[in-house]
Amino acid sequence: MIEAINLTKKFDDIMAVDHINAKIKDGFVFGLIGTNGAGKSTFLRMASGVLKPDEGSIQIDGEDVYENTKIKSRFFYISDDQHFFGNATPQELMVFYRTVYPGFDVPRFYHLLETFGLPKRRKVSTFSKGMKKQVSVILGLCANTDYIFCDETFDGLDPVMRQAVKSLFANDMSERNLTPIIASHNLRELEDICDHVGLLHKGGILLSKDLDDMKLNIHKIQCVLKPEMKAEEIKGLSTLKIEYRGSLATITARGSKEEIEAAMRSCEPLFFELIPLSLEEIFISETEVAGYDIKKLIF
Amino acid sequence: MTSKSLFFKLMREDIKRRLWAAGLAFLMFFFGMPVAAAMSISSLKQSYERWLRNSTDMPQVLWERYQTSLFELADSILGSGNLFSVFIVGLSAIVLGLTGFHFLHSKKQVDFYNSLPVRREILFSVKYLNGFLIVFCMYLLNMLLAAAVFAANGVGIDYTFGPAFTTMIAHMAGFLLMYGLMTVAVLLTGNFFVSILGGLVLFFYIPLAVLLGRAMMELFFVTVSYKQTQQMMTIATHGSPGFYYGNLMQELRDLEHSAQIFPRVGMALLAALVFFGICLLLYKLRPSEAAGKSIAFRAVKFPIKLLVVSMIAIAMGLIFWAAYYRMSWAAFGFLLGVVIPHCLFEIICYPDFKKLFANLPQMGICAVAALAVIGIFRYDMFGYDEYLPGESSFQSAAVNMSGLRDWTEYGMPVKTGDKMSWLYVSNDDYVEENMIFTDYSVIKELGEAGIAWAKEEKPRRLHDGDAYYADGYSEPSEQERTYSSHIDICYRLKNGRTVYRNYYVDVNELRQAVDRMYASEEYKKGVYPILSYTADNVTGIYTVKNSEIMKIELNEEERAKLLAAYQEDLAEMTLAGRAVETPVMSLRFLTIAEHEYLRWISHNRRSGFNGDFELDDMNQVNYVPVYPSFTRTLALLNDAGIDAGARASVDDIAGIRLYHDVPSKGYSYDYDNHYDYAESSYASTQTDKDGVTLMIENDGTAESRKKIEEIIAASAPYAEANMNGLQLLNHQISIEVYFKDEEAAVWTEGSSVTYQFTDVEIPDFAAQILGYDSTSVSNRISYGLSMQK
Repeated sequence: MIEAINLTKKFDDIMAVDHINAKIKDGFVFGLIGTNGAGKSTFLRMASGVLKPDEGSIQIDGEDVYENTKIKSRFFYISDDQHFFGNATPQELMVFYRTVYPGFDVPRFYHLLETFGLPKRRKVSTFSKGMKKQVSVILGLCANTDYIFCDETFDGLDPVMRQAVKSLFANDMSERNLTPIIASHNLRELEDICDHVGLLHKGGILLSKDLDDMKLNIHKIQCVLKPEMKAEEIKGLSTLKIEYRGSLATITARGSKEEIEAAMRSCEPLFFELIPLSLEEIFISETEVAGYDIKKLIF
Repeated sequence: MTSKSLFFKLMREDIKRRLWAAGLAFLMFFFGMPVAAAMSISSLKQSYERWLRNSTDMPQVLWERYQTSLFELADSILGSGNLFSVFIVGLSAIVLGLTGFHFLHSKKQVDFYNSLPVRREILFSVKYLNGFLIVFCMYLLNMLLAAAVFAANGVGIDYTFGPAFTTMIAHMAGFLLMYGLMTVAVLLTGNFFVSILGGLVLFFYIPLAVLLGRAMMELFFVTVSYKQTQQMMTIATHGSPGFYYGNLMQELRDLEHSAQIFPRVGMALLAALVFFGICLLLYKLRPSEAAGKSIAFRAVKFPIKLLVVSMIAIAMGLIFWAAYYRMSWAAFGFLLGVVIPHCLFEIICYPDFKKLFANLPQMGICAVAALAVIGIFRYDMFGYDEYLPGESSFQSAAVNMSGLRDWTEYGMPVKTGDKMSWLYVSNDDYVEENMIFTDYSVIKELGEAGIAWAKEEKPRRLHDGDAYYADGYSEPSEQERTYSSHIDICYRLKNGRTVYRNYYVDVNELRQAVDRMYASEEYKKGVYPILSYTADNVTGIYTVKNSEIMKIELNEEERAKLLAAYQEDLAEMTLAGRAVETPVMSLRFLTIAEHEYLRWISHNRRSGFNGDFELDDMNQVNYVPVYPSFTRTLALLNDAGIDAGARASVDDIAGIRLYHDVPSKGYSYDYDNHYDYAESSYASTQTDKDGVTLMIENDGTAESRKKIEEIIAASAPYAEANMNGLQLLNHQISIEVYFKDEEAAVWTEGSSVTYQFTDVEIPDFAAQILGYDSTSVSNRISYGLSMQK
C-alpha cells in the first residue's frame, strides 16, 4: 500500500503539494486527477523517489521511497515526457531496463512489441508520440513491478491503444496484483478504469474515494413533474442540484437508488428516470458540496 | 543482483551512451601520438638520407646523430614534451566533465535516472569512472601504438616504457584534477551555459583572488617582501587544476629522473580524490528540481555572488585607480564593479531582465564586503606593516641585506640526463634556507627601524598617492643620500610560522646592530656559501687579477690551508673594514660539481676538446674577494708565488684612457685651458658634446710614468672594486688601463682592464684636464658606509 502522510513539496515560493494525506490500496487502479499545476506530477515524482518531500513522507508498505532502492525496485515510473536514450532502439532500452529491473520479462516484451506493431530495432527517436508512450507502457509492464506510475500516459494514445493498454493493466492486475497509479487531467480517460480517485487542486487533495461508493450514493434523475409541482418540493430527496429545460427537470441527488426511487414515486411525476453519472458529474457534484466551484477548477 | 555486478553492467550501458566521447578521444590521441610519431620518424629519416647524400665521409657520426634525434623524438612524443597531449587531456577533462553529468540539467533525464532503483552513489560513480576510463583507455591504447611505432624503428620498449608510463600517470592526475572541478561546476549549476561560467569561476577564482590580494598588499602595505609575493605567485600558478596540471608537466620535463614527479602527482591525486568526494556529496544532495535552474543549491547562490561581485568590485576599483591615480576614478570603477556583475548575476539566475535589480540588499552587502576588504588593507587593520615578533615567540631569523652580500651569487650545477646547467638560486631562497640568526636584539632593532620607515613611507604613498604614483619618481630625500639598504627579514617563530617582511633602512643609523650582525658566524654562514665549503670538496683554487684567470698550483694540503685561511679571514671581516677596503683580487674555490660542470661546458662548446676545461669558462662560476686585511690568505698566496696585494706595475702599462662624461646638468668646462697637455708628447685630450677623454701614454718618460702611477694609486680594477659596495666608489670617471702588448700596433689596441676611482677626489692633473669638480658630483658617487658627503 502506498501512503502519503502530510506530504508537502514547495518549489521556491510555490506550494506544489500541500500536506496531502492519502492511501492507495494494492490491486486497484488509483486515478489522480486535477487541473494543470494541481500537483499530480509532483505527487508522482515524490512517489517515485525523484523528489524529496519537504515535509511529511510517502511510503510503500511503511517504508520511505526516497533513496530506497529496495522500494524503488517495486515500481516503474512513466513520466509525462519519458526519457529515451539518444539513438536507442526498443531492444536497447529493454537491455538497459533488464539491468536495473531483475524481474524484467523479456519474452513478453518482444511479444507485446509485436502485438503493438512496434519495430524492435528502429530508433525510438523516430517514433511518434503515441508510439513512444506505447514503448514506455510495454517497458513498464514488462519490468514486472508491483506498481506502475503513469503521468498523463494515456494522453497521446489513440482510443484503440488506450483500450489495449487498459486491458493489459486489467490483465496484470488480475494475474499479479499490479497497482497502476494514473495521473491525468482528463476525467473521461480514467472513468472506466479507476477504482479509486484522488482529486488534487492547488497542491491540496480535495477528496479521495472509491468510484463505486461515489456512484452508488449519488444519482441523476430526469423527470417531468405534475404541472403545478416544482422539483424543490419533492420530499425525501437530498437534492444537490436542479436544472430545468422546459418541463424536463434534471435533478442530482444524494442517496441510494431505492431511496431516490421511493421519493420520486411519492410525488407521482409524469415521468422519471435514473441516469448514471459520469465521473465528471460526480466530481462536480461532490466538490460543489465541498464548497468548490469545480467547473472553474476542471473545465 | 549484487551491487557489484549492477555497477559493471551500468558502466557497460553508460559507455554505450558515450561512445562518441571515446571515439573523439581516440581520434585526438591517435593523431597526437602514433600518427605524430610516424610522421616525425618519416621526416627524420628523410633528413638522415639528405645528410648521407651531403656528407658521405662520416656515416657513423650521422648515424649517431640520427639515433640521438630518434630517441629525442620518442621522449618528446611519449614523454611530457608532447604539448598536444596536454591540450587533449585538458580539453577532454572539460568536455567530459561538462557532458558526463549534463543530464542533471534536464528534468526529463533527472526523472528517468532518479526513479530507477539504483543508488545515487552507484549511478554517480559509474558515470564519473567512465569519464576517466574513456580518456585513460584511449591514451593508453594510443601510447602503446606510438611505442610500437618507435619500437619498429629501433627505439626499444625498454627505453620508452618508463618515461611514457610516468607521463601517462601525470597526465591522468592532471585530468582527474580538472575533470573533478569541472564536475563540481556542473553539479552546482542547473544549465549548460551557467556550468561553463561556473567552471570559469572555479578554475580561475583562486589565482585571480591571490593576484588581487598581492596587488592590494603592494598598493597598501610597504613592507611586503619579495619572498611573500613569490609565495603568492606560487599559489596563484598552482591554485587552479589547469595551472597545476601545466606546472606538473613542465616540472616533469625539467626533472632529471621522471620518478621524482610522483610526490606532486600524489598531491594531485589526493586533491582529485577530495574533488570526487565533493562531487559525490553534491550529487547526493542535489535536488532533482534543480534541473534547468541556474544554481542548483539555493544556499550557495549568495555566497558565490558575494565572492564574485566583491572581487570584481575591488579589482575594478584598483584598475581604474591604476589608470588615472584619482580617487574619483577608483570610486567609479568600484561602483561599476559592484553594479554590473551583480546585475549580470541576477539576470543569469532568474533569467529575466526585469530582475536586473532584484535583491538590491544583497548588492549592498557585496559592496560593503568589498569596501570592508579594501578598508582592512587601507587602514592595515591587522597591523601588517607594524609586525614585529615578540622575543617570547621569536625563534630565529634570516636577514638578507643586499649591500652586505653584493659579490655573492648563489647557485649550483645540476645534471639533467646527459646535460648540465647552472641552477641559479635567488639570494632570498639561499639566505632563508641557510641562515639561522638568533640574536633577537639585532632583529628587534632592524625591525623597529623598518617599521619606523614604513610609518613614514605609507602616508607618502597613500595621502600623496596621486602625485606619488602619477610622477613615478621623486627626488631622493636627504636621508636617501646616506647608505640605505633593503632588508628582507624572514622571522621564524616558535610555533612554526614564518613571516616575511621587507624594509628600507639607513644602515649608518643602524650601524651598531648591523656591525653585530655582520660579525656573527650565524649571519656570515647564512650568507656566504664559501664558509660551508670543505677541503675534500675543493678540487682547485684559481685567482683572477686584472681580468686574468690563473690556477694556483697547490697540493691538497695547501688547498685545505688556503681554504681554511680564507674562511677565517672572511669570518673576521668587519663592516669597518668593508667601509674602506678594496679587494685586491678574487679567488675561486672550485668544487667537484663545478669542476664537472666546467668540463661539460668546455667539451660541449668546443667539439673534440680533450683538456680538463677552458679557464675562460670560469666566469660561469663564482669568485670571492680577497681584502687587504685578509692577512692569512695573502700570506699563503705569497707563499704560492702570488703577489696578491701588489698594484699593477707601471712597467706593464702601455697607457691609460680616462673619460669624463659631462653630467646633464651642472658643471661646464673650457677645454682650451688644457691645451698645453694636448700638445705634450705623451698625453692628448679629446672633447665631444658628451664629455672629455684624456689619453696618457707610457712613453717611458718620468712624467708619463708619474701620471700613470698617480691614477693607478687612486683607483682599483673595476671587477674587484665592485665586489665591495660598502666602500666609496666614484662612477663619474671611467678609466681604461692598457697593458703592454707586443702584438698591438698602437697601445690603445692592446688588452685593457677597466679601473675605477675609489675616492671622491682624484689626482689634480686629471681633475683639471677632465673638468672634474668633486663638489658637484655627489649623485655619481656611491658612498657606501664611508659617510662622506
